[in-house]
Amino acid sequence: MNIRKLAVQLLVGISLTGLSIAGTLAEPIKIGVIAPLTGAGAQWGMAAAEGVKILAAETNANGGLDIGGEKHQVEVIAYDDKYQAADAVAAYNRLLNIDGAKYVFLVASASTLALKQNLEGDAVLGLTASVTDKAIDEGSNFMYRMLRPPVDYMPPFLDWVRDNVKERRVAIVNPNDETGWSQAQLTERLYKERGFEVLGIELYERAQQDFAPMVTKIQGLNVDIVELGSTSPATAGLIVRQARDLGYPGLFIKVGGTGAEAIVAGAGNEAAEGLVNVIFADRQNEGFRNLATEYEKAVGQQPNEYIVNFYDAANVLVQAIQKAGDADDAAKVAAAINDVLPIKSVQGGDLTLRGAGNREIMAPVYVGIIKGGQVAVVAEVK
Amino acid sequence: MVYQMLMNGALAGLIYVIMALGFTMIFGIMRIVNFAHGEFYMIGAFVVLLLFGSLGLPFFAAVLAGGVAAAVLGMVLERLLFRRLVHDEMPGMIMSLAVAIILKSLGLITFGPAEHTVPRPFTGTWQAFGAVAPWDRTVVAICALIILAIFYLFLKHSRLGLAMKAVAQDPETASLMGVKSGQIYRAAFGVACLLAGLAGALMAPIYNVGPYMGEMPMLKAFVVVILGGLGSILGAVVGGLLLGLSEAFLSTLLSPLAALIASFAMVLIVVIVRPNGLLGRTAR
Repeated sequence: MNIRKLAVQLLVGISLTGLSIAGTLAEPIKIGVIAPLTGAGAQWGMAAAEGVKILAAETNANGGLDIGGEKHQVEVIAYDDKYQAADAVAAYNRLLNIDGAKYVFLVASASTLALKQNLEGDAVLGLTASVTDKAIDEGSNFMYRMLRPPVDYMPPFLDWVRDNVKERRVAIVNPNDETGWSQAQLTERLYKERGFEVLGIELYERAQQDFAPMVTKIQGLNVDIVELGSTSPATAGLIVRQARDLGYPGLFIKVGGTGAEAIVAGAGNEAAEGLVNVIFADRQNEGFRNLATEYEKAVGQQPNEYIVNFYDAANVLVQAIQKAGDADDAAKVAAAINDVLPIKSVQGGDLTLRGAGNREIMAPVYVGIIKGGQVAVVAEVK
Repeated sequence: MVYQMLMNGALAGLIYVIMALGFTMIFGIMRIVNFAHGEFYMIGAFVVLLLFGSLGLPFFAAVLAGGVAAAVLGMVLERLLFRRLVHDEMPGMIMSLAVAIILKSLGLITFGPAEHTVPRPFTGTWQAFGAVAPWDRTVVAICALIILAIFYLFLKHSRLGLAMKAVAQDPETASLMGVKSGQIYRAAFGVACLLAGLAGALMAPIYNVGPYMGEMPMLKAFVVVILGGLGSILGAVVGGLLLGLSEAFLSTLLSPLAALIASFAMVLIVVIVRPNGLLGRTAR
């Protein structure tokens, strides 16, 4: 009798232990990040990767993602694409075939365009910060943009510029890749529509560090605005410094890509004074400051403002996965994004969905001006 | 604008010369195409970032330390890894690629992926014939000229320099004459890495400092030595200035991409028409 009772107790115990183990070993949800983690664009890429990682860590600290009563940990796997499409494709294949990720965050336009068809074919959900309007089209079922696209925020941003600066003669500078080309085309059109005179468009290689010849050419154009486009912050700092050294006295505007602090670090306070930059986050905001603290613990530096967009987008994604109730079906999760929005941004305010194919998550955008080495938010771009 | 282009080209070209000198020297003496040369440039820059940027030591002391650090590491690696591959071009090239990746990765682990900025030790500009030159780049150019002169005198008049030339011309005969080739290889590798380290250290306040900063200068050094002739010191000087000036003129008049295409088009033409480079035969 005692032996039978003991055997029953043992069976029950083993079953419960087995269930418990099964519960703790639920498959983790893998989220990939393909971003420039090295080189001039590293500040964007690192902020992107850490933004997603911080959100995952918070989710895991709260017990994980509850899907159908089962708790799943969120695992973030970040790969460096060095702003190169070929590296992005290699990273994607690894994420898909080895790591088993069904969700991918992307930073660069070149990487986004290189992977666009793959995402659709493989039914992998992509969330991109790409600025090119080609990133999302009628055939896009698995691609979302996580921030206001340039075509949406640039017109009101440049309206502000038109109304607040007296300079009118523009040279546009951009990197020689998909991001730069699309920005150059768009900004040229938008500047011209607002009565500015666009006198030159200069494209440079991302690895370039010597801009003296380019600046010499720009000075020959006799412009009073240099539009830095989607130049990475570190490179923008170099351009500003070298231009000031060669005697360029005019205004710098950077309508694409954030990172005014890094521009100041590269150019120096005096050279960067007055630079007008698009800002995706208010650094004084409490939500941003909390993210910055976490980032600094991990990386040892202050983050680029992109951290807010990627944190918010990761939040949208995990909420959508939970809502869909199926982490393996990216189509269901994509459909659920429509249901979970609007959602609160870490900065406060609502993230909403609109834009191309109703696939663009709209977040706040600001006009920032560098004054005394600090970025002052002077207006919100409506 | 022509004077400005000349100024830009000369300032850029002189640093290409310093990079290319070490690169071509290792090939001339050891027959090793050292693809890790850019990483010794990176080491020089990181030392300046630490000593001058973070600890506030005098700039030129930091530059010297950067060059010495690169040289010491170069000599250690030469003894441990490269010595056995002397005159064995393909394995030597593969070894140098492996060393480059390891050094770059160590830089990445130690200093992180983001690019760093070093404070400028010299500010302001000066003008000549309407062309403007920043003082920091001018100081680099002056240092490059001084390094070039010392290097020339070292090769021409010092016992070690003459021994290096002898080993480069005929290692067996040099050995019969009592030249210890092992010591010469170590010294040559050390001097080459010293030059790369000094170049990186001098450029640290001018460009951004990061683990991948050596890639572009390495590429330029490669172009320079192909143009001038692998193993040719005078070729490195001519090739460096030629590349600097062609880049300055073409980037300004056309575009940076046109300048890049033109530099490699020049390489193609030189490889077809004069496979030993413009001055490859005369200076070996």
